[in-house]
Amino acid sequence: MKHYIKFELKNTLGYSLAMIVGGLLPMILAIGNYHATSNTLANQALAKGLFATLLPMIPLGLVILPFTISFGRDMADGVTTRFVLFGYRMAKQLVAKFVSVAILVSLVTVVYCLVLYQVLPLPSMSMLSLANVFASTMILTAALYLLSFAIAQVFKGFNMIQGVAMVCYFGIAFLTGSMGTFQLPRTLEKAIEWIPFAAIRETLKMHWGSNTVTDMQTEWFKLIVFLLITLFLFGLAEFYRRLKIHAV
Amino acid sequence: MLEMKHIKVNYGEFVALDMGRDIIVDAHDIVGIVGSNGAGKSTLIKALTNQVAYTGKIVKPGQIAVHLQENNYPATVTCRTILEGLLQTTYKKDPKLIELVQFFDFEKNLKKKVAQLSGGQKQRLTIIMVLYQDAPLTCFDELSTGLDFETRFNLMAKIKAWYANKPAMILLITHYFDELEKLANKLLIIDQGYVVDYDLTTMLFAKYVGYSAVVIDAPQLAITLPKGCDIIRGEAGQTVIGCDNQNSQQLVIAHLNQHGFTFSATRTSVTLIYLNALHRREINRLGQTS
Repeated sequence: MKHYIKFELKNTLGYSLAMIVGGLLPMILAIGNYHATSNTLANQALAKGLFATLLPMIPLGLVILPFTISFGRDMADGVTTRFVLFGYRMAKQLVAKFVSVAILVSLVTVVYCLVLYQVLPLPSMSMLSLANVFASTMILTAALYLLSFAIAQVFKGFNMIQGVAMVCYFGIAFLTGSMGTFQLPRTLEKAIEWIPFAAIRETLKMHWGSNTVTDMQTEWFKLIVFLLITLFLFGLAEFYRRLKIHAV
Repeated sequence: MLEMKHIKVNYGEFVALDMGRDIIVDAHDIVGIVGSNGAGKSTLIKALTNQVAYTGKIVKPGQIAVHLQENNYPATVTCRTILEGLLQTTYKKDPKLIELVQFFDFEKNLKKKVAQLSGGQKQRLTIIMVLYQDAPLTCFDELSTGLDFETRFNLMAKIKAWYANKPAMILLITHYFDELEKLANKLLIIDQGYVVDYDLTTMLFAKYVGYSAVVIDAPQLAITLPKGCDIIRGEAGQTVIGCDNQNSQQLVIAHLNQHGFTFSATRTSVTLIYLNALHRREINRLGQTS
């Protein structure tokens, strides 16, 4: 598995789109949207808000766009099948790809924290909050990873998959308020609450220095529900994939 | 050993493969699978490797190495990363991989990405990984299609050298029958999804051609044939005389020499086996319908 993970890590790093959208963009948006005032507390609040708002954009950018597109392309080109025939089975591919993207998300999150702490006037974060940042980023990565696999399985053709991935990326970014704010119908707003970007953002902003686990309960509940929803979609897509092979 | 028992593959209503009989491949057999495009050759490999659903039963080794018609890899990584990743090894620490890479003269390509490779180099990359597996069963599906003569010739020579004295069961799909003459000891002839015949190449030659065949580069040659000889199917622009024994062959050769014809004699031609097997099948089919 070590070699597979190494391979997938190099493969993921090869997608410059991932590094731009998932690595650079959240940092650039956070720094670019910060405007210092003479009020230190307001500056800190703005910095915290930007940090928390753009944090979920890291897994979103590193997973949804490049992974869905590369999955789609690999499936269409027969790369996935070629790998399976070399003994690199689908389950192993999924695990190795996930571990590689999890490593990448962790590294980018570390860089994100280090850079923003240097550039923005962020107050000290509690250890619990910092742990929560990494843990929730990982859960979000897992959920988005399952979603990207489901998209690549269900939709046919590289262009279609690329289109759906774009819609997902920008849809999630806009609707969850990570890129701008919109007045949405109440029902839609309620539904979007279950994409836990807002939960991550609000929890982090409100409990930046908290050392109480219960402060993170709501966020974790929403993260787990989102993970379960994507797991269900993944299951459906996997069922569909197997059906395609055997429907001959 | 590989046993394929009445394998049938349907693509919807279309019958892609209906073997209609049991095929047993023994250890050390190199089986050439021949047939026209769409005959079901690749479908057979897909059934063997669980890429398509099939009915019937396949008893196969636990590991199968496969070279597909098209072998694609991610364009983001180098050949070395692909080799190390898929073979789960480290190049510098793996003498077997180093040997194969050197054997196929591939060292200079290790740092290149797949998109930078030529057709022959891409084939070599896959072949290196297929051979590295040292699987009890290896399938090559149109290994040399699209390669120039020299590359194809060198590739086949290297594969032959690699497998010399190695226990290996090989299924080889190719449209280049000269490759089969050099490598295969058995032939599986498939036509329109159905098995025409399967046996040792020598047995099939004896069955469909005879003791030997004399091939003359002249179409529809009018010649009086000695006893034990017959005109059989050959390639366009050729007359082929099948001989039942050595004596009749010598008589034909003497006659052709006397009249100054250019000819060659063969006892291994897969082309003649294939053409005459199909011809006989057609005759049988017409006989059944009339």
